[in-house]
Amino acid sequence: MRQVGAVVEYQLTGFLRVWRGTVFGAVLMPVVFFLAIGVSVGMLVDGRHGVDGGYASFVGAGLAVFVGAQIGLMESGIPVFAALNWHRAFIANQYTPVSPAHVVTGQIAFITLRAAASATIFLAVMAAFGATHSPGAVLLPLIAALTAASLAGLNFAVAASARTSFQVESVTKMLTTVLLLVSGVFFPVTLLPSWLEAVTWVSPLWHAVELGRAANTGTGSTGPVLVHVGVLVACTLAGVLLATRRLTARLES
Amino acid sequence: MPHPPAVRATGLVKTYGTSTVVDGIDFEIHPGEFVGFLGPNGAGKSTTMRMIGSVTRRSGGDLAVLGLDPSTDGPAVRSRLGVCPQDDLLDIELSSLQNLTTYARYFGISRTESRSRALELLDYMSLSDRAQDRVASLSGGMRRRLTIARALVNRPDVVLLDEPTTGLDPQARHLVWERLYALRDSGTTVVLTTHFMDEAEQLCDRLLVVDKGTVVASGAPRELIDRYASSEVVEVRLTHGRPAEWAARLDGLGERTEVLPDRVLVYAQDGDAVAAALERLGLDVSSVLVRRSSLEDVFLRLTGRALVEA
Ligand SMILES: Nc1ncnc2c1ncn2[C@@H]1O[C@H](COP(=O)(O)OP(=O)(O)OP(=O)(O)O)[C@@H](O)[C@H]1O
Ligand SMILES: [Mg+2]
Repeated sequence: MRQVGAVVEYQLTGFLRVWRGTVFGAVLMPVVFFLAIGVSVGMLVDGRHGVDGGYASFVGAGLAVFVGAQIGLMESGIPVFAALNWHRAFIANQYTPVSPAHVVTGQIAFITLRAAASATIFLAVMAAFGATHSPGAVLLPLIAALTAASLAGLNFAVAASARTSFQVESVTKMLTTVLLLVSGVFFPVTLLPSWLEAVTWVSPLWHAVELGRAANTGTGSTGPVLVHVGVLVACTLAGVLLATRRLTARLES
Repeated sequence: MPHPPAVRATGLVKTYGTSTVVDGIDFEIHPGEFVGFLGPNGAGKSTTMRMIGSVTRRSGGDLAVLGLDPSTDGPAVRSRLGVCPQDDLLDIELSSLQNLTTYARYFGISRTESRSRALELLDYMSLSDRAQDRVASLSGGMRRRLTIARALVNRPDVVLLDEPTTGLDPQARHLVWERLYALRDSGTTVVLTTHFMDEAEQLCDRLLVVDKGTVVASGAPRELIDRYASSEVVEVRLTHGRPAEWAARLDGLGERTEVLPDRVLVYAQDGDAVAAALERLGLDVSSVLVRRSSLEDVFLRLTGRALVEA
């Protein structure tokens, strides 16, 4: 635990030197999406296609969660590859009592903290535009953090095994795009063809988005909520295990 | 009284795929000893250091570091080691100070203690004025000193230094030597690799000469010189021609000759006698230097010319 804390601290030290450069991608972009799509398109489509509580809040909850997904994927991709192949901090860490499992856990813990922080800012913007509908909306940053954790491990494993940064970038972008499309961030997945709707069930982001909407509207029922949380926690644990195995293998090669 | 060795290797082997880079070496390093690994590029020094440092798994043989097996007690071993790897592996985005403090935290050292040790070590390595600078802005030699400082942050029992002084200017090298003497005086076990013969000769109690993954000789620097080099060497340079062309004409003058790119070394018990005989040959000599043999001569003898080409 102490070792994981040290890894988080190291990540934070680096982040505090560069955070300004990350604000645009991590926070401003989703806010722009929210204003451009949620607020403006919302004026056109409100009350149609079973979108509860207004389109802005529908998209807002989806994007708040997507903020987490994006950070979860971005920060477990190139930064991990760089720590192995460019500045090689992970190689230097090998000489300390900190193990690959600590490194993976610490890195993912740090990623969830960042996701929660960015989603909190996003939530403030949402609230300012009246897109929050229940006290449950305060859970959105937490859900975004869990979303980040559920995706980071898998991408970490990819980055730890990759030979080139191009591979890492491609996988990160592909996962981000595909997940965005099949997870109902911008529209209800019930509008998808039924075979594609089935695909959404295996997307951790879809479970997270459902959870986020339930929190925002205060309409979640216990059964589905438990399933969604269960899927996200399971993905997180599986991701940490997979990433630890890949990192261990990479460091021993 | 018998102390358990700080490091004991028996039949230590490391293979990568089909190539064997450490080929069954045996050695013991005693607590408080200052031991140097010497050998040409690719001899397996760094690989051996990484196995001791418990970051690379051995492929065969036995290894005990501080009485523990690195392959099963890695974290416990590493918590008591200080390692300066051949590559600096510093985080160039962080400041010098942050590199030391974040590393110290990985050893479970408290935040305040990490900071005070870091400041102390920066001072120790004459880097105090660069404490807040990003590592990216430091020179190569400064980074090297910072890497050595980092190796000491956990007050290790055994320090492993892989070419610690490569890239240092003469002042900095002497500073590091002084610090390493002080470490030894404090009872720390020091293991280093170096390509500087003067460094090996001055710092090390004992040397292990490795070549192609095996230990080809070991002993105190003076012992090695006595054992493997004649007492004197005559360095001969001619005005014309490459040494390889005329070296054969010096055969028989001494016990052995070594041909270097710019000169030929003639090994003998009596250098002056060789110089006199040389004069009688009537060669077009540009310089003749008689000197005592050194560790470098031991090297050329034991590992061929590989080290010179490096
Ligand atoms: N990860 C690796 N995979 C494959 N071969 C390796 C690996 N690491 C080292 N080797 C090989 O092992 C041999 C010994 O390398 P090592 O780094 O131990 O040499 P060294 O004695 O430290 O040399 P130098 O003086 O150049 O630092 C070399 O032939 C090298 O190519
Ligand atoms: Mg080496």
